[in-house]
Amino acid sequence: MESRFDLATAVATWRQFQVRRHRILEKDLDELEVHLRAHLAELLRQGWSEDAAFREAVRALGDLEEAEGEYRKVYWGKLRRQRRLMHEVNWGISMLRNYVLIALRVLKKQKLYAGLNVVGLGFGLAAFILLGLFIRYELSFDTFHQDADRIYRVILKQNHVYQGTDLMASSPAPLARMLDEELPEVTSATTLMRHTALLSYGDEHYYEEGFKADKKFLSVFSFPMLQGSAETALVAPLSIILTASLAETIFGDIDPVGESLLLDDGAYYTVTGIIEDVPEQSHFTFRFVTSIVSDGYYAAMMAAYTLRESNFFTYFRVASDMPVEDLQEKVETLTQANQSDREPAESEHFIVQTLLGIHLESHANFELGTNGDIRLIYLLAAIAFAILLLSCANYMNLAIARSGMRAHEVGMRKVVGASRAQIILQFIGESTLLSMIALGIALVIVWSLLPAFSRFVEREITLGFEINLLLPVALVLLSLGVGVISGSYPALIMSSLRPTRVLKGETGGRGIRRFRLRTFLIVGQFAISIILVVGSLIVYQQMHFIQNMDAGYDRDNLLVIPVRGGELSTGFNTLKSDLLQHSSIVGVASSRHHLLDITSGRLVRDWEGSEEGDELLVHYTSVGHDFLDLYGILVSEGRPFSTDFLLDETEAMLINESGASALGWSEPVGKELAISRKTGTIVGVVSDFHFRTLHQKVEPLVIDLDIDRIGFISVKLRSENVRESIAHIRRRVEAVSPYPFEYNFVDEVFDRQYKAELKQGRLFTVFTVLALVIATLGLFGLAAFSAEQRVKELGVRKVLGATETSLVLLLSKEYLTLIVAAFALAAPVVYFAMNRWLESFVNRVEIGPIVFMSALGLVIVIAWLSVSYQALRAARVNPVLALNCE
Amino acid sequence: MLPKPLVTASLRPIILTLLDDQPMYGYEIIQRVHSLSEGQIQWTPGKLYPLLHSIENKGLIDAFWKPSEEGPDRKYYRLTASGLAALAGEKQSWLDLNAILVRLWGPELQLQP
Repeated sequence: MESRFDLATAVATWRQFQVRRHRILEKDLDELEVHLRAHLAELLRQGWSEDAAFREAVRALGDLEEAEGEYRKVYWGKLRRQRRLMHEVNWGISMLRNYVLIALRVLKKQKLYAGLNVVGLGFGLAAFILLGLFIRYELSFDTFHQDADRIYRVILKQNHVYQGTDLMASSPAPLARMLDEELPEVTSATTLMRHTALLSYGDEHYYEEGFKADKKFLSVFSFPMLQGSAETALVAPLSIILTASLAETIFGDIDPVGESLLLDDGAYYTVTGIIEDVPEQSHFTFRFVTSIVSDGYYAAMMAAYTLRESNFFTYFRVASDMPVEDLQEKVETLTQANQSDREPAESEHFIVQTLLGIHLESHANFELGTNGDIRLIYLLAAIAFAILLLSCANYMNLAIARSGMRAHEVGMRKVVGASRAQIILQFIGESTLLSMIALGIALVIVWSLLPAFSRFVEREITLGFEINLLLPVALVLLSLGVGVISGSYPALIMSSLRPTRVLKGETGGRGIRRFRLRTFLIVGQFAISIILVVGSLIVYQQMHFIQNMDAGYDRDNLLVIPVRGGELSTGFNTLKSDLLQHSSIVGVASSRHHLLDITSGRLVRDWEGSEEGDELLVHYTSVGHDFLDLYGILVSEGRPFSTDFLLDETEAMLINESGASALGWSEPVGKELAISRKTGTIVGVVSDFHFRTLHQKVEPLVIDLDIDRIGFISVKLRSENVRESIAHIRRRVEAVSPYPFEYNFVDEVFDRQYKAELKQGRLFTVFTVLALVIATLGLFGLAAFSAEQRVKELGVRKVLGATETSLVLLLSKEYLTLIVAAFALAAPVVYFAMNRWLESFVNRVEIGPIVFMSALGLVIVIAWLSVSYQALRAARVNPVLALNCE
Repeated sequence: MLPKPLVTASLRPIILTLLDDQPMYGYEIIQRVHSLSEGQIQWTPGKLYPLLHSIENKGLIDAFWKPSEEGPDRKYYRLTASGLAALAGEKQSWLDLNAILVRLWGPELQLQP
C-alpha cells in the first residue's frame, strides 16, 4: 500500500527489468543507466518532481526494442556463432526461470487463495477425469474385435410388444448361412446358442456358462486362440474350446487339448482349443464354446431351413464399410424372399444392428448380457461438463479477484516499459502454471480414488496411459486451455489499466458488481449447484419410492434354489417334507419360473367374448401347491389350487386381475381358456403383483398347477439363524443333486433390478456433493477477497457506528440477490429435465416444491456460512488499523 | 523535425564532428546535438550508443572512462586518427550531395562549408 515514490528503487527496478527483457550486454546497460541518471539529474535540476522526472527520462530513452536490434547488429561481428547459440539458450532458460520464480513468489504471497484456487480446480478436473474414464469405458465395448465396425447382429422385430419392446435379440438358425451364401458383402456369419452346462472331469464338476457356435464363430469375432486352430476348432461335432482361466481351473498344468470333458447332456466333448479370456468390455461373455452341430435342435432347424423359429443369435461380418440402412434393406429383401411360404402379415421382420451399438443402445428381449444405457452416458457427460465448467468458472473468478491485488505491481511494470503483450503473457503464464499444478493434484486424486470408483461402478477402469497416448496429451491440453482461458481475462483487464491510476490504488473492487463477468460466473456456479442438488433429491425420492412400493408379494426371507437336472425335480416331495421338519423353515413350494423372472409369453386367440383375429399376449407360468401362500399372493375371487380337487393338476388355471380385464371378463371364474396347447378352466383370480420390474405396469398372467416340471424351489425361512438354515438346506439338497448348490434371496434379486438406477442416483449424489464443495471453495475465496478489499470501507462504517452484525448482513445481502437470480435460472431447467427423466418410470413421484425449497435453502446456508465467516473477520479488524493502512 | 532517414544518415558525420571538437560522453552528445539543431534533431540513446560502439569497433573513435561526481563512471569517446580521416570523407560526400541538389533546385540551396 505504498504510494511514496522512491527514485532509487525505480531506477533499480528499471535496470532489473531491462536485464530480463532485453538482450543487451551488461556494460551497455550500464551506459544506458548512466544516461538515464544524467537525464534525471538534469530534470530534477529544472525542478521536475521525482516521479515525473523518472517517467520522462524513461520515455526519452526511447524504444529499447529497436535499440536491441541495433546493438545486435553491432554484436554480430563480435560474437562467434557458437557462443551465440549458447547465449540464446541461456537467455531462454533464464527468462523461463525468471517467470517461474516470479510466479512462485506471487503464489507464496497469496498462499491461501492460490491454494484454494488450485485445489478447487484440481477437484473439478479429477471429477471430470473420473467421469470421462467411465464414459470412455462404456463407449468402448466390443472394440477389441478387429474391424469391429464391420460386425453386425440380426434381431427379430415381432408384431406385438412383450415386456416393453417388440424386439427380440434372437433370430432363426438358418439365417447365418443364408446371409453368407446369398449376400456377397458378407464375408462370414455365425449362429450362436446359449449353453449353460455342468462340465465334469474325473470327480470334479464345474457349472459354467458358455455358448454353442458354428465353425465361423472365430472368423466373425476376434477371440485370439492360444492353442488350437481357429479354422478347425469348432468343425467337428462334440468339440469344445475353453477360455484360458477355465482351462487352468479344470486342468491345472495338464495340456487340455485332446482331453475329454463330460457334459450334462451325457456326451463326451473333446477339447480342441484354448482361447484368451473374454475381455470385460464385451456385450456377451462365456467360459467355453461347443460346436453347435452337436445340437439336435439346431440340426433340425437347419434341416427345415425355415425362418420361423428364432431361438438363436446371428452375427455377421462384412467386407468393407457399409451404411447400416443398405444392409438393412438387403437383409429385409433376403428374408422376405425366404418366407414365401407364409402370409406377408405373418412373416418375420429382421433388424440389423451394429455390434458396437449393442451395449448401450440395444434393449431387446433376451439380450445376451446386461446392456448399459446410453441415457446414463448422456447424463454423466452432462454432469462431467457441468462440474468442469463450474471449476473453471470458479478458478477464473478467483484469479480475477487475486489479480486485482497485483494492480500496483502491474502499474510499475508498465511505467518501466513493459508492453501489453508482456503483461498478458505473464498473467497467462502464471495461470497456466497453476492449472498444471491443479492437473497434477487431479491426477493424484484420480489415481487414489480409482480402485474405489471401479468397485462402485463395477467396471475395471484404469487410467490406461499405456494403451492410449492420446489421453495424457488431451489432459495436458485441457489444463493448458483452462489456464489460458482463465488467465486471459484478468490479463486483459490488468494490461489495459492506466498505470497512474493503478499506482495510486484507484482500482480494486468495491463490492462484487464491479466486474460483470465475475457476477455472471458466480450466478452460473450457483445455478449449476442448484440444478445438481434438486436433481439429486428427486432421484433419491424416486428410488426410495420404488423400493418401498408394494410389489404385491412378500419378499423377505425367501430363498430360491434353481433346479438343474432331474434329481431335484423327481425327489421334490420327499425333500419338501424333509425340509419342513426343520424348525427354521416355514414353507416350501415349487414353481416353473423364478417369480421375478417370468419370461414366458404366449398368445391367446379364442376366448369367450373375443372377436375374429383378436389375440392377446399373456405371461404363463406354473406353480406347485402352497406357492401362492408362501409369497403372500392373494386370491381375490374364486379359490387357489388345492389338493382337494384332483382335476386341478390338469385343468385348473388362475388369472390375474389385469389378465381378466384385458380379456374383458368381469366374472372370470368358470370360464375356459386355451393357452399353449392346453385348455383349462379358471378357478380363481389372483390380485395383481409385479412379476416384472416396477417400471412396467402389471401385464396379464395365467398360472396353472404343475408339480412335475419344476424349475425353482422356494423356501421361506424364519428371520433368525438364517445362516444355519441355509447350511441345512444345502446339505439336504446336495444329498439329492450333483449340481453345485446355488440360491438367491428374492429381496436381493429385487434390489438388484434397481441397481442400475440406484447407482445412477448414487453417482449423481456423489458428484453433486463434489460440485457443491467446489462452489463453496470458490465462494469462500471470493468472499475473502471481497472483504479484504473493503477493509477500509468497513472500517469507516464501523467508525460511523455500524455493528458487526449489520456489516455481515451487508456483505451477505449482495450474495443473496445473486443466489435468487441463479435459482430463477436453474429451477425451470431442472424441472423440465427431471420431468423427462421421470417419464421413463411407470410408477413415479411427483415433483413437489419441497425439493426446490430444500436446494435453495441449502445453497443459501452454504453461501451465508462462507460469506459471513469472511465478513466477520474483516469486520472485526480494528477500524483504526484499517484506516491507517492507506 | 527532420525525417528519420536523414537523421539516421547524418548520425555519423555529426558524431565525428562533435568528437573532433572535444571528447564527450553519450548524454552530452545528445544534448549538444539537440541544442545545435535547435530541436530539429533528437537522437535516442537506443540509436546513438549502438552506433558509437559500431564506429568504435571500426576504430574511428576510442573510449575511456572518467569518474563523475553524480554517480557511476562515465564513458567518454574521442576521435582517433582514422576517425579524422573518415570525417574528411564524410564531409566530402555531403558537399557532393549538396552540389547536386543545388543544381537541381537552384540558388535557394546554399551550404556554408
